Amino acid sequence: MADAPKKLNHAPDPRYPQPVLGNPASSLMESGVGNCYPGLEFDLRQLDVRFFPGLTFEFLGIEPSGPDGTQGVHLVNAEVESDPIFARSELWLDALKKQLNGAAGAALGSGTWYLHSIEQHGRRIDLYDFNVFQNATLMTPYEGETCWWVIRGIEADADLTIALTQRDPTGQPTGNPVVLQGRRRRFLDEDGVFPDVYRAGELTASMCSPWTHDFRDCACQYWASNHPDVVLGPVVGPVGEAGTSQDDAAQGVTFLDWLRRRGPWRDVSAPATLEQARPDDYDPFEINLRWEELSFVLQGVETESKPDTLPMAGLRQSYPTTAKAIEDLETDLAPREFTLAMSYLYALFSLRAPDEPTAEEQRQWPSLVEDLRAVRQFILSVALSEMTHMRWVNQILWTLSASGHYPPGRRYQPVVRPLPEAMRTGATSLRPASLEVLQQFVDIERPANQLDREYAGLVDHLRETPGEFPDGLYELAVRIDSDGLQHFQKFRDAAAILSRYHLKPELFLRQMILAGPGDGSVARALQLLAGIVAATHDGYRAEAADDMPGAEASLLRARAAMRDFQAEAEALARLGIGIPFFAAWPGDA
Amino acid sequence: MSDPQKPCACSTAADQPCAPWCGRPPGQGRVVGLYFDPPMAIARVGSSPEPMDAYDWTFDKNPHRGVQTKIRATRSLQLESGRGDGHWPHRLVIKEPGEIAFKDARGRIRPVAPFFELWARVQDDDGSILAVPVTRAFLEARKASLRDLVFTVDAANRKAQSRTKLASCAAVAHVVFAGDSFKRHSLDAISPRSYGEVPLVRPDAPLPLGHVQTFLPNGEGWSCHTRLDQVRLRFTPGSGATFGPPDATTAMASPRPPGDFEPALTEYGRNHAMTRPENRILTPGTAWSGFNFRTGNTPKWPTPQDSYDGSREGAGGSWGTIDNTCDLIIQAALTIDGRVLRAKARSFAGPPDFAPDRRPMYSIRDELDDRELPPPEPHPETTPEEILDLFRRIFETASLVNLDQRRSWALAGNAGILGAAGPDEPDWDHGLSPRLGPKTMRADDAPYAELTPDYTPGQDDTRVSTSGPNDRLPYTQVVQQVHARMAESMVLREFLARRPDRVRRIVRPPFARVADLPARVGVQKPAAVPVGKWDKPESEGGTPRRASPDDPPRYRDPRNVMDITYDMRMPPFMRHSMGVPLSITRRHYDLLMAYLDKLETDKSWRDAALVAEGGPHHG
Repeated sequence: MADAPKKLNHAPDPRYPQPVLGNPASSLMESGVGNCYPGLEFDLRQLDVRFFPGLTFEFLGIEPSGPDGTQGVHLVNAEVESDPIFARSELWLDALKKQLNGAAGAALGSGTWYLHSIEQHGRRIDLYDFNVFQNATLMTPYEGETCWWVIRGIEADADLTIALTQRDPTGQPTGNPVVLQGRRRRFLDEDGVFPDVYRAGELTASMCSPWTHDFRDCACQYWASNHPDVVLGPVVGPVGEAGTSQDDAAQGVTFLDWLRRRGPWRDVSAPATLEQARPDDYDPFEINLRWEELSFVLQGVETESKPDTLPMAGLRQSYPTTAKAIEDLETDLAPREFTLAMSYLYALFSLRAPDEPTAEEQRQWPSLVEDLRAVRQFILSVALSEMTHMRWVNQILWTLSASGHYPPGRRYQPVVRPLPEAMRTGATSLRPASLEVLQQFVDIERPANQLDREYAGLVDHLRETPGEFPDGLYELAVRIDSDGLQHFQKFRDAAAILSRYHLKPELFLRQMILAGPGDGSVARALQLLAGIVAATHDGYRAEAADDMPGAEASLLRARAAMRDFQAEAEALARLGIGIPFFAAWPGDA
Repeated sequence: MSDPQKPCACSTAADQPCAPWCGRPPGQGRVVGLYFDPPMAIARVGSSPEPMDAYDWTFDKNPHRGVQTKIRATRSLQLESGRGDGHWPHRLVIKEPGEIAFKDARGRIRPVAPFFELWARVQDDDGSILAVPVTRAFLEARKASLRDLVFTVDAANRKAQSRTKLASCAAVAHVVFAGDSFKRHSLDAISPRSYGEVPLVRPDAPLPLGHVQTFLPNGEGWSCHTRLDQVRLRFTPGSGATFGPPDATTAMASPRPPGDFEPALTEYGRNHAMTRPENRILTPGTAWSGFNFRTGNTPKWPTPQDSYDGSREGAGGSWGTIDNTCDLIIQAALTIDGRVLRAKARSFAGPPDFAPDRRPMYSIRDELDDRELPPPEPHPETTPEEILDLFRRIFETASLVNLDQRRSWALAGNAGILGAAGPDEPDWDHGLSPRLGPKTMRADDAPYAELTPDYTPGQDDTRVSTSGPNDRLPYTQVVQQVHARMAESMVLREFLARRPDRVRRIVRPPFARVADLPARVGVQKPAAVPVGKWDKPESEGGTPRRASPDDPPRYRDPRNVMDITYDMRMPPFMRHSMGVPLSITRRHYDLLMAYLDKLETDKSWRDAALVAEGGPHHG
């Protein structure tokens, strides 16, 4: 095995923009947020204040008392001299200069003017709404926000006609319009800088004052990429086990409200509404002096510095050949994912639903309903994830087949079946979600245990074999491998939540008995399961053959069958009947 | 021109090719222009005297974390006193990458203080133009010196001015210095005024907007990749503190949620200091103190209007506070052969980037590209990568969004706009698709909702999700789980190829170009926007199909109320400019749609997934 990878078999790394020597990436325009109300770094809407050369506008928005007829795009100034663009000699600018220095400009020099319409490529948009009455048509100016979006849709380098009018006290346009022909200003010069017409301070003039006001107080919240909504809290549970670290982002599992007031008290988890979050967040004004207490966040976890990265340790010997890797994917990993998904689903159906506890049980155990909802959500999430992994293992296989990596004479065949031993020992693979079983699930998914090692071997093989694999294969293997840690965390938390009921497991467990393969009550469920498997099989085969419509039809069929199956399985479970999932493969055992 | 293969003075760049200008005589060629690199840069506030070290974005492939963007320390530039006593003039030295610390030992945030490199465009006798760094040697070879290089920096904070419409409420700094003045030039701002006007910021108590500095040339250990003899200017922003008049001391904070105007409960809010005593230096009694966006009940700009301290408490009067952020214009002027050459750059002092390894999916660069660049054409070599990067950025943003909170907020807004009896009425939006009420993202929201109901079976059709310490923001979990997958190249490409109609439906279109809008909403028909869907590959003579009534709309109309309500189309429940639902940019949208069309109709685009780096393998 090579000491270092000779060539990584992965999609090309993203072409991240590079800052100049000495600058952090957070100085790049790519690090700033581009939607502005009013923005974080600066307000790009300010560019449109001067969208038309020679003119300056403002986008008057309605305040709480409502419209008064002056809302819309108000002309602040019309002047050629203060706009450096007219120093350039271009035909359209020369013509516009003549208009502004002539009668049109003179008219705009007095009175109050509003942008009435814009026209480009023959399409004229009036910046008014119309209300038709029996004896009148009333024009209501759109407010500044609406007009701004229309103006934002003007194309550069295309002829543009605008008309301005004055208004009567009710907001109706009056008098003769002033019509100007020109173009929208280009907002970057040839060196990539905003033109000189935007004076220092203009691009930030509309930002909040002080900046901390909006940082805390904006109802839209801010851009999560620079101002997170939720972050992961500190690590709880086992730390430092093989393959994990306290610095590892994936360890944290509790969502915290990032804007919460820092203090000596324990952090509470992030709530689902702004109203619920409000009492624990920094107050207005308070933020002005305490914003530096806010935490930096890396990989979703609060930190004050860049954590060390984990070594990419090979936890298992890489495959000697690609053929061996393919064999392992077909006979072990794909069936293992399928088996785990079924086992987890069986455990899920063995748990009581949140509507099952009696009133008396809820009185005695106030968190029981929430605990059941949470644990069922965790286990379902892992089961669905395992099914996704089975799909991805198949995708890796058909990609290897299509790219010529299969042994001579062989090609991809869908793998949608359980492990042979699961078929033989269905009774022991399918067990209710007792605390003992949940602990076994924790152990299965524990980092560095068997499943993790299996994928680490695949990752190593793809990484270390000189490059001949299709783009993205390596990343996909990494994704499957890294998901395992989240499965581990979810089962660990499910076990911890239910452990408080260890003396009364009947509070969370249904009295579910695994039915025999020939039990008539599960016949429909098994039929649905067989349908799911067949449709999934067909879907993978079609996809491998590049028949995307066929694949889509099959997979939608599989998904619909899954919903029916889930409903059937829940109904049976409420009757205490567990489905013998693996009975659908009697002949293979 | 220098031979790129030829060894040059760079002894430290064995693994990197030399710059095209490396080894070239400094006097060669005629100077035709100057420019700064970067032309525009974001500075970020922090009160620490130690600026933030350098880092870049890189791709983490650790199997335990999954592939994702992370930050990586790179070489920083550190100041070293030229006199050895810690004071100016300073030269720059390389600080090798180490741990990235965002705060100093006292917990103060380290500011981002960007460097701007000065470059010249030089034309050789053969007509070719090359960029070369401006250095002392470069200037001397042209009979000029650093002293002949004049820097002018204009910085301003016009936040109060933009509300009061009075220049006397602006804070403006203007400094001019020569290239051999290596001291710190403070950007101490004052308010401009004419006779009779009261300045918000007085000359005897200026507002500190930061400082700019240039550096002694450093020729030690020279390499064309570091160029420490190149002329550089650094802007260090202000601390980010709040300043106010003497009465801006303490105030009762509204206990209401953000965006809530009702002042009724203000008296029950907590009392907080809003400025430090030493920052109460602004003039009391100006138009900014007591400014009120409600005055006169007239429409106003800028919006949102409640964007100053004091707007949400009591009657809404301003406390007269401003901060020491700014945006600035940097200019370098050099006279050579009687001709003045100028370079310009801009910088903007913004808040810290608190999640620096999570990139915006809609960045400033995206917005500028959307405004300035022509419509994109799909290309097999670049489009897959560009779309993948977009989805990676979507994941990076989505991974920190509280989708449960966004959803409950947006649905309440919808109910207000459309006159629902109450935001929690379960079926107030009956008949609408996509749903706008509590059934959004639930089974009744089909065909928009697919996975989310399956992944959240414990949720009912409620506006506020059921979330406790254990089940932890169910919608937030789903968005993270789903978008983590979409950040994988194979998963994404397969999904787009297999489910193009799903993507066409679920991605919220951007607002239209002027030419695509109907003249009157609901009266004229909108322009027929080509959907780009090809009947067969372009190489086989295919033609793009025109839109049919069955196609999902390819744009939104800002005048149409249904286009400014929030539904679950992607990105869900997030806010765009001017407070309407967010979409990706028009450029990204058009490129994504074109890519879907290619994947759907052209096998060669789908086969790209199966081509190894070294070409197809036939084993």
